[in-house]
Amino acid sequence: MTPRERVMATINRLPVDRAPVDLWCTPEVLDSLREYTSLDDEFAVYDKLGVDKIVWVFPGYAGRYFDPNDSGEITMWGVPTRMVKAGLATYQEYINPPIADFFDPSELETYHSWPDPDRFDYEGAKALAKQARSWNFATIGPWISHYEIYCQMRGLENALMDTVAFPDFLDATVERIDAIQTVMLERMLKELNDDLDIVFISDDMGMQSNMLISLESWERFFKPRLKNWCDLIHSYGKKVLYHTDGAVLPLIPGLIECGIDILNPIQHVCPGMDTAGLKREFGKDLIFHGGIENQRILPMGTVDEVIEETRMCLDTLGKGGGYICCSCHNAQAGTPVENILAMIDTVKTY
Amino acid sequence: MDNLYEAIYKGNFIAAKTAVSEALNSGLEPQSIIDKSMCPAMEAIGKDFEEGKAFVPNLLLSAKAMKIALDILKPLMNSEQKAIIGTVVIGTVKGDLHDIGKNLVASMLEGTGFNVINLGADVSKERFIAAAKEHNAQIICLSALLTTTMDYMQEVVEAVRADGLNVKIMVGGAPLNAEFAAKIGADGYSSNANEATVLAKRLIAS
Repeated sequence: MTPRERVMATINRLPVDRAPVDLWCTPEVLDSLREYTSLDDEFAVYDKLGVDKIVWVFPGYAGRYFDPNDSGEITMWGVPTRMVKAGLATYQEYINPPIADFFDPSELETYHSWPDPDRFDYEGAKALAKQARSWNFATIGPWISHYEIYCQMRGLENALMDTVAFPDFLDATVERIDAIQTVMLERMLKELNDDLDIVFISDDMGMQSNMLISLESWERFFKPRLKNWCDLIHSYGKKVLYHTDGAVLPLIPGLIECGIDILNPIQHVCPGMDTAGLKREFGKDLIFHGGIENQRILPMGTVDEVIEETRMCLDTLGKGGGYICCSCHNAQAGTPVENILAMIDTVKTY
Repeated sequence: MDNLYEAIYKGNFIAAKTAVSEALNSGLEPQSIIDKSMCPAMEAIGKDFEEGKAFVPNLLLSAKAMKIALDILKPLMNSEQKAIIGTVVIGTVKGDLHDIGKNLVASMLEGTGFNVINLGADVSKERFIAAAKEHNAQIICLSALLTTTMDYMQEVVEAVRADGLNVKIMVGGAPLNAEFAAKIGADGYSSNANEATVLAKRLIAS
């Protein structure tokens, strides 16, 4: 099977030759894999390693692609960023949230940086998707989000307090964030058509020990909008991957009601998120993507620990199919190449 | 249940402002208002949070209400009247800008009677040491979210010990655990803001 066939068969619950293995990693880790394979092209690296890469096909905006290595960028939502050296890694962090001081929804009218759906680079996304196809990789895109974008624009602490203290402002802002992306999403679905397999919806609702906001808040502000997006995506015959880190057990039944097909990244060390329990409870409704523990085992564990961890995920999340193995979020700078190879090889030989 | 307790517990910072004025007008001493209404309210919301009954937004709003009330009361108190359990220097370590958990811990410590020097995020070992000396701190609290920055905590611990400072060091953050804290020579680990206040009190008493 090709990587794409393996991924799509898994999502559609059809027989596969083996479970697929995807990889999310930071630029530093990708560079270490380039060095290991002596290959420069990202897709060639995945191909050589046997990764069933689900290629991120996110459209650029206003003539440029979002580049995590650029500094001093302002996002398409008007949020300034800066590069921060974090040990071995470098991250682009959001700074100075532009609507932090807004108080009344009427102020949103005059906000200077709402993205224009016409200025997304659909042609560039199409070309990228075709390139991924030429390597027989599945594709995922665009990246869309309600609350994460709101948090960037508003500042995290304000955004969290707004769920309780300023619900009307939150609601009005998220409505605009939703509307812009809905137009962009539909354009992507139409223009990429057969070259697109999955849409990436990202809204982190979990922290290490519990939900970040209450379930009631999620149901009020985000659930109906998420369901609308899922319905739209499904009407084009595409699948939905929903990303949220953390301890989100209480959220999962609602995600299923919205129509989520694939849940990522399954941070199973968090309370309530144990892999066997999730599979038992939700395995018939959800495909799982992710799993490989990435706060200790993948970055700091031994090869044997990575093998054991990968087998555990395959035994539980992968029981009877419906599992795409992957690092639980991006493998971080300093993660040993041997550990990444151990994850991939364990899936391939399982 | 008094109005100020309720305003802080519920995170209603507008009501907190009114309620603290009412309490003062009724003739209560600032320290007594803090001890009898405000600290218990912060302890209650902290406990709810630890038990998963309250969420980060609630804790942030309670901390905001607490701060508004404290800002009114503090100028009315002279230094002998301020009953302080101890002084804590707190920050997110160098390279890491994630500060919401650290701020929650800072707020809970302040809300439960500590003098808190919050150095913000991206803090070097030199700044931790200088601040601890300047403020005669008994405790330094270190936070990190990233697996790529948590190792810097060990550098801070080693620098503090090498300097001979008589302080306890507490650590916290999503990828950490008690085992890591022990390995790097920290004096304690806590997994949430409420637990941090209990640990800080224990370390002060030890």
